[in-house]
Amino acid sequence: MKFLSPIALCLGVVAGFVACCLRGHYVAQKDAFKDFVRLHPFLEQETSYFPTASQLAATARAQCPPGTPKTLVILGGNSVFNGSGQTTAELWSRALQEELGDGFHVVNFSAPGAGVVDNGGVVFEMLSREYSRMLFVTNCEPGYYPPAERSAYSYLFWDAYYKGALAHDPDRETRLAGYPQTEDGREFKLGRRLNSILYFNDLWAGVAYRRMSTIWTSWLKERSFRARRRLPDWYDERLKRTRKNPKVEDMMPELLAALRHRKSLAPERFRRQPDGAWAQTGESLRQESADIAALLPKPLRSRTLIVLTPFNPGFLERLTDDERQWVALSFQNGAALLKSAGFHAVSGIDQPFEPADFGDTVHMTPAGGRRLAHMVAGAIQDVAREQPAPQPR
Amino acid sequence: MIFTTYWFAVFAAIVFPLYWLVPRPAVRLGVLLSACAVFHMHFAGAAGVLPIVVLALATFLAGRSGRPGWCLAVIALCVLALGAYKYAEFFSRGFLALFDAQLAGRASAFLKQTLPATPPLAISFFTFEFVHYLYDVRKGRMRITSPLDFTLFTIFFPSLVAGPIKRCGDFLPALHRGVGSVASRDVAIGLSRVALGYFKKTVVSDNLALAISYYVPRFADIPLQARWLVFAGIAFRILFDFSGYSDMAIGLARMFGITLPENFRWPYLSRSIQEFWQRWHISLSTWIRDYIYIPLGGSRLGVGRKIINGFVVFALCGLWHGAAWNFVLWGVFHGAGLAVCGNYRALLGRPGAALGAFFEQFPPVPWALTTAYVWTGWLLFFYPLPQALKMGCALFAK
Repeated sequence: MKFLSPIALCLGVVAGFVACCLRGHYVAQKDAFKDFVRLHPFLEQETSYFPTASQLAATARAQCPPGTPKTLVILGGNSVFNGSGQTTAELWSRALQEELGDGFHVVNFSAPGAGVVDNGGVVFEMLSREYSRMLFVTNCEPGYYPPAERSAYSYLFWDAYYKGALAHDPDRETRLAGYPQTEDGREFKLGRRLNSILYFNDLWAGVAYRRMSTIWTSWLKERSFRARRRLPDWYDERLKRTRKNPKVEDMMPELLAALRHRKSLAPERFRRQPDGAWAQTGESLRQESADIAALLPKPLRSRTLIVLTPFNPGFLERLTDDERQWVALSFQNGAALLKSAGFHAVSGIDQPFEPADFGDTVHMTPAGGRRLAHMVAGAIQDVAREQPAPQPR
Repeated sequence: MIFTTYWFAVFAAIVFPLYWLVPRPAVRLGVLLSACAVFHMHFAGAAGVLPIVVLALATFLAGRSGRPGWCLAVIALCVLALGAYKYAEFFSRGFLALFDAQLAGRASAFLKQTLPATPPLAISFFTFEFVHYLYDVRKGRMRITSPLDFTLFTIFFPSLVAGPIKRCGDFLPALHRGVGSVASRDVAIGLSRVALGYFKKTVVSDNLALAISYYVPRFADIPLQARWLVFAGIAFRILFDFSGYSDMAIGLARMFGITLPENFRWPYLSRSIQEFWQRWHISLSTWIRDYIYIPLGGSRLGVGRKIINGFVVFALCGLWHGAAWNFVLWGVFHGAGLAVCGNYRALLGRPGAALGAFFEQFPPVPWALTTAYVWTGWLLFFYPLPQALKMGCALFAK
């Protein structure tokens, strides 16, 4: 305390704290990702970087400001839509943008391991009041519909929820109130509540993106503390080193075993009918209907297209007849359930994909990505045509 | 890590301004007591609070009575409670099993059924403080008559979880001084100390922990210089973790106007193992010295007894850190280091004296030897013996 009076130091601490909160608030509104293409591992939680809901929304706003005479297409979904195995230049969502043309603007918020409405779905809901022309396009595997508040990227949902950025949905409120409370859950939610007032997570995400990160991660090792904006797209970096196509044949037993563990092929979801054909159990259909109903508030569903992305047909051939029937039933019932809940849905299993379109069981090669883009672009245009004309604001 | 939880941030944001704004010391004391009770209840839960309340009550009453027999009985009760909650499972599995595996299995199953999955929060700190108090009462050095003072000595939240281990002779005057008037200087120093501790813990130590957990399973496969960096990282990780936590505890107490004893003084600058223990976890090492080593005879009964006492004391010190053999081994390792450092001059005669003179003339040499010894000890502390040995060997392999 030689150089500074205690009162000055205390006041300085308080002033610094307030300044940080204000800065965090500012960052949440303004700080978008520069030249954003997609959320790759260097820009998401796998490397201990947690983009906030406000940051993603600001990115969408920066790329396609509200009022622009374009339809904003927000992509959500998992690693298939994230373009795992594709460089940024080859990314399927670039091809989708080209297919859709100038009347649309595509922003890809899908992420590896994400559920149907993680990330992209949260941003879509946040922006739904600002954009009159906006669509949400996401992908999933039939049968797996985790709600945003309980899935891999749930932190983003709670971030938006406590900031009051989501639409009011009484059904959701009832559901959230019914979840069991744990000590960890309470602590997590308290953190999100505090952030909605103080914006410290937004400040950290902004500083880590622009200046320096503060968390060591094994993905980045000596680059861990570098500003995230200075890091390349993770897939670009990895694919530059190992551009060779993976030898799917060599990995066939493991990949096939992994495919058999997927929800679409879970035997407990099916029962054999007296005529020998398979049908999905009533219990699993009821459960999936309930899961789908929890995905998004009803008014947003007509602007949402869910693509049930296909499996590699080369692997499907190696399944047993019964397993192939389960897959077909899963896709057929999944699309029907989604449509009956008010979503638009496309089943990828019916589309003319070839084994060469896939790098493994589900992820696409660049050629497969282009085929996917073509298929999704057609479906988007159909959905866009069904939308009512935007009301003047 | 309790001090870095959101709950604690909210708690602190309410408690400190309230404490500072209350004009009367008596009310301030009440605010502090309530805050400590809320903190303990929140983090320990009812099941964790109850045993501490029972032990505290017994300690207070025995201390107030001033009867040496009662004090001794309650000391035994406290030690038994610590043993039961923290070490019973270890003794049944790791010790009893050496003689009768079946009996050990039955004892272990019984303990699992009867004892909670985790011991009451900070039971070892409570035990050490109660034992210190009762020992001093027995010796006629002090007696706390106010239940309020005793309760605050027991559950003063800044030092509750990870020390420093308090002595009531120092703490109570500091408590009353702090409650009487908190100066802005105390708050400023406390804030700075908390910030330093937070930085040491969350930025340095937690990042080192992440890197260590990644590199240790690959220890033999990484380049030699990286192995040495990991070796140093392990040593700095525990220093920054523990001293960061102590900084936060000392800083939080200071923000109440209460000064707690220092717990770390640049331990890696030590030039001998004795000096290391005068700089590392000072409140623990002085407690062990005063309440175990000296009562055992200390260095008063000859070199042989001194060495044995050192081993006993450090084995117990290791065990205090955790109920596992690697902690005991770490303690014994330090006991051995202390035995060598403290006695080599006497035992080696003229060569020993020459070596001592050489060390005094070239301080970097004993510093390097001490550092190497202490850092090697951390391998025993953190990893099972075979893994620690492998890692130690890998530091010198290509």
